[in-house]
Amino acid sequence: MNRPARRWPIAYLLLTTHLPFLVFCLAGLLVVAGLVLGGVAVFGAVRISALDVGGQLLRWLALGYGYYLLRTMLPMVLVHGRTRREYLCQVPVFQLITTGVLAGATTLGYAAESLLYRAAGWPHQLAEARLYSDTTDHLVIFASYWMMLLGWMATGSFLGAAFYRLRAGGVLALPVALLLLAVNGLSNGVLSLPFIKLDLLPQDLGVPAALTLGAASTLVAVGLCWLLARDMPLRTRTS
Amino acid sequence: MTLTIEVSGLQVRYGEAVALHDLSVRLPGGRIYGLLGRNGSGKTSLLSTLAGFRKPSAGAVVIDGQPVFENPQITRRVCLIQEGGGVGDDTDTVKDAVQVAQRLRPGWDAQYAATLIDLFELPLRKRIGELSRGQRSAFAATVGLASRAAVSMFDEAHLGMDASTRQAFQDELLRDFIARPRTIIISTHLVEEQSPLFERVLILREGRLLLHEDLDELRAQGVSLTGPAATVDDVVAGLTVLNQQQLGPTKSVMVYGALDDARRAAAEAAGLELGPVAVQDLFIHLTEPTGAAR
Repeated sequence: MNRPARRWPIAYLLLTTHLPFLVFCLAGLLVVAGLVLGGVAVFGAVRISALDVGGQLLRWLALGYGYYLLRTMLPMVLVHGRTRREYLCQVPVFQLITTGVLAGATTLGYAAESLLYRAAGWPHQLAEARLYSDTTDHLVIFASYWMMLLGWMATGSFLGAAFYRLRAGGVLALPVALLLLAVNGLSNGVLSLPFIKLDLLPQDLGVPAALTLGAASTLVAVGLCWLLARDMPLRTRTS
Repeated sequence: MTLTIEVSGLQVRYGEAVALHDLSVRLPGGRIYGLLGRNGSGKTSLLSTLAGFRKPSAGAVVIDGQPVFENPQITRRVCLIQEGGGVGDDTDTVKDAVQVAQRLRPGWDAQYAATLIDLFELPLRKRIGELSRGQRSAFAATVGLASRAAVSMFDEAHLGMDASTRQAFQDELLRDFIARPRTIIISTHLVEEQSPLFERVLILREGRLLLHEDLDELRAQGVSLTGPAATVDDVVAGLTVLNQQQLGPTKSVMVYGALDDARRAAAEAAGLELGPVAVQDLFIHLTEPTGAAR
């Protein structure tokens, strides 16, 4: 066993087994986006970036995966002799790296898409208002996706901890999670959630302020998750 | 190395319900303990706190002189296997789950795990969610044994196993215990089947420790007498009768408590057959619910 595996066994395990799976999911999403794009090109006119539309689905993957990390993985790790503290310290590191990799891969996707659209003579426009103004604004695209995925994954973990610990009482965490996601939406220029449009917050904050708000909401989600999970009892079946 | 477990004033509450009341016990290392009790007596709550799965509501659980809860130095030397496992994600294959255990558990014995997987005939490529109940239990038992934890606990881990698999598990547990002495606690309702494993027995009743003693001492607390009905009735008069059966003129009675010399002499003189009482019969008698729990 190498040094990182000994010192950071949980983060190392997740990075070497779960990160490849998530990259595989992203690749699947890109393939689907490509197929849709091909269909639109054949039967209609391509006007906007396919990745800018499909890429937003990534946040749901991040939310669900974050939920799984607390709801399913944490109890299993405890059974194998690790502590909550170890898990709750190493998982955010894993989330930071993983969402960075996914955001980087998505940014590369935007770059590749730019070349394709240019070659095909299609207009490469954004689907709706974003923090980045152009599909070639790679640095902001990367930062925006990183913050979005990180925030959604951390919020998913918060919800996972809430529903595991409080069972049905976990619904009490939903309004808090919605608020966190809405604030996080600033980092991607997206303040809307499905079925909910939040126009209360200004959308022209500027990149640094928006990213700072996104980071703050992520930290709040991590903190709330910590509060719920740090002494969370493992569910047991009593006979 | 064996570890001593010390529990003092332990209380576990679930909201208003109290599962364990002020429980104190010291379990020296290097023994196999049987943890017995009726449903809801607090066995799982006790084991969960010993494993650090649950924080005590009050009191202390100390292993090797250190508190257990959120103490990685201790939790990685403790392993609790419960019914249903929880040792792997249902979507993982057995092979993947073994690799996860290997990477998380410092003392994991991969070679021994492979031996146990062969012994229990577990399909490596099958997902855990697709295993039968007995296979899941066998896999959980595999993880419990191959973890090589200094404190290994099995909470109804045999449920779903067929008789031959249960026997294989018991034989393997005993063989491995002899080769590598450690502290093993087995919680079970199969009292008669699994009691040959126990060196000492703990019995919980309604969240309180009712009894903690050697199995042989427990056995000595009961005796069965068989012979002519009238003679048997005379000898056991005034004693606590656990069970009695009569076939024609012959009666068999199990009593709680050792026979004093006078009664023993009278029984022998009358030609009554004396024998031991099954641990399960003693257990049933000892754990009769009190009025409050009825």
